[in-house]
Amino acid sequence: MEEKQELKGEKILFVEDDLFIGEMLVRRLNMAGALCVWAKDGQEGLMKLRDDKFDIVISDLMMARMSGEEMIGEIKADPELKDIPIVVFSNLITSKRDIEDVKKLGVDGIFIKSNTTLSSFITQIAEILDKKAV
Amino acid sequence: VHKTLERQIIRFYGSLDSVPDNLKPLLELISKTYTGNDGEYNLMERALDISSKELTEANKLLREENEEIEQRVQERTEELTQERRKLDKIAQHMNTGAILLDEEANVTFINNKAKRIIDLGKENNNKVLDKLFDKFKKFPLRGYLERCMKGDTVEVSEVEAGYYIYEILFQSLRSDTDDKEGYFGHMIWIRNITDEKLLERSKSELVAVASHQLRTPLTVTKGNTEMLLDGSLGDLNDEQREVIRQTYESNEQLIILVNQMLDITKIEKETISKDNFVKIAVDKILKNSVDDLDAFADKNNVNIKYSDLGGDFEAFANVARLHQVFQNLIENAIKYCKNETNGVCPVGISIRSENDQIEIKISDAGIGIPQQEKDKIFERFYRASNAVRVESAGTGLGLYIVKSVVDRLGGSVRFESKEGQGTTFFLRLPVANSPAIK
Repeated sequence: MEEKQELKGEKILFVEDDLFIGEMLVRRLNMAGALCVWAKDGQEGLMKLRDDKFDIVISDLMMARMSGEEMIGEIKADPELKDIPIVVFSNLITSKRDIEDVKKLGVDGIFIKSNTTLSSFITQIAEILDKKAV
Repeated sequence: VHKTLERQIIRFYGSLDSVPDNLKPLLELISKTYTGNDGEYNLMERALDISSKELTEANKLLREENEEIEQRVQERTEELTQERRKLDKIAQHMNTGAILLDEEANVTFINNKAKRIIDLGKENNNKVLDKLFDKFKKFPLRGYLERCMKGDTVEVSEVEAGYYIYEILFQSLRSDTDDKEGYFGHMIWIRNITDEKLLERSKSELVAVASHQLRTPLTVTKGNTEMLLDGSLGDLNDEQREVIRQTYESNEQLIILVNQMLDITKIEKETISKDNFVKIAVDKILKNSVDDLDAFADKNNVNIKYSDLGGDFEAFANVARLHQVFQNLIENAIKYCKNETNGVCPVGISIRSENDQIEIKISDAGIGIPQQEKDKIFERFYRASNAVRVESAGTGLGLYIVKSVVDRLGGSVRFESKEGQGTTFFLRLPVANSPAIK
C-alpha cells in the first residue's frame, strides 16, 4: 500500500514508557513521514524538549519518574516550550470527568489508546499541526 | 317457732347426735307436734327445699361451665400473647429496620433496629418519617414513599449515610387479589449492606485496575494488526489477511468488554452524588441516541419510528450515562430484530410524561427474551441463550448498565417480552420538579 505521508517532516516527541506501544507508534508515525523521537518518561521527555526543537509532543500519562501531567505542567510553565502543541495518548482516561481533568492541563488533543485506530490518530495529529501552522 | 327452736338446739350442739339425752324427748315432741299439726307447711317446705336444691345444682353446673370457658379463654389468650410476644421479639430484634405505616402514612409500628438507624429517641411515632428523610436527606425518599403509597414497590439499593450504606425497600402491602380487602398499609424495610457493598467496591476497584492494565496490551494488538491489515507492513496473502482480520475483531471485542467493565465500576462508584447531575431534556437525549444509531439501523434493515407524546421531559440526570442507557436499549432493539414486514424490521420508540414520571417505551419485533431467562436478563454478564445464537459477540453488560444507571436516577426499568415476537422495554424516570427529586 502506498503510504500517505500525512506527517511528512514533522518532528514529534513521543513520551511513552511501554516498550511495545512505543515501538508500534514510532514505527507508524515514521511511516507517515514523521521524524519521531521517543522518550521513556516525563523527565527524559523534558530533557529532549530542551535539547531540540519539536513540532508536537505526544505523551502518555502514567509513567515512572515523571508522569505526563507533571511533564505537561513543566512545559506549560516554561516560556520557551509553552506553545508546543501537546497531545495526550493514554489508557488511563475512562470518563468525561477524566477528560475534563486532562483538558485543564491545556492540551490540544486527548486520545484513549485502546479506542483509537492508528490511522485516525495520525489524521488527527496532522489536523492539529495544520491548525497550529495557520 | 317450734321448728326454729329444734334447729337452734341442734345447731347449738353441732349435730342431732350430740344433743344431751335429757333434751331429746323435747326435740321428738317438737317434731311430732310439728309434723302432726302442720303437714301442709312441711310439704311446702320440702317442695321449696327440693327446688332450691335443683337451682343450686343448676347454678353449680353453670358456674362450672363458665369457669371452663373462662379458663379456655385465658389459655387461648395466653397462647396468643405468647405468639404475639414471639412475633414482637422477632420484629424488634431482627437485623433489618422495619417501619409499618397505615394507609394514611401514619407510623403504626417501628422496630428497634429502625429506631437505631434513624436515631429515634423518645420522640413519638409521628416524628419517624421526618427523622428517616432527614437521615438520608441526599436521597429522594419522600418521593419513593409517595410512589409506594400509589401501590408501587420501590427498592433503593445504595443509600448512604455517613460511613454506612443501606438498602431501603418501600413495600405496598396489598393483598394478592386486587380488591381493597386485606390492604393494610405500607412497609419500609431498611437493611445495612455496608459490608457487602465495601466488598463489592473493592472488587470493582480491582476490576478497574485490571482493566486499565489490560488496555495496554490490547492497544498493542490493535495497532499492530491494524498496520498488518492496512498494508503498512507489506502485502498479505488472503489467508494471512483473514487470520489477522479475525485477530483484530476479537481484540476489538475484548476492548469493548474492558471498556464496559470500566464503565460499570464507574457507575457503581457514582452513587447519587448530585454534582454529576444536571437538569436535562430527556427527549433531546433520546432523540440524539436515535440519531446516533441511524446508520446502524439502516445497516440492519431496521426502521425506527420515534414518537414524542408530549409532557414535561426535564429530568435531573447525568447526561453521558442516560445517553448510554438509551444507546444500549436501542442498539439491542436493532441488533436482535427478526420479524420483518415488507423487508424492514420495526422498532418503536416513544416518550411521554405523566404524573411526574417520564415514560420511555422501546419496542422491537425481535427474538424476544425466553420466559425462563426473564429474571436473569439484568444480571452482570448474562446473555440470553437466543441472543448468543444471533450475535456471538456481546458482553452481557448492556442491560446491567441500563438497570444500574436507571436505579441510581430514581427510576425503574421493566420489560414485556414474548420469545420470537419481540420485546418492549419500559423506562421510567422522575421529572426534575417531582417530589421524588426534592
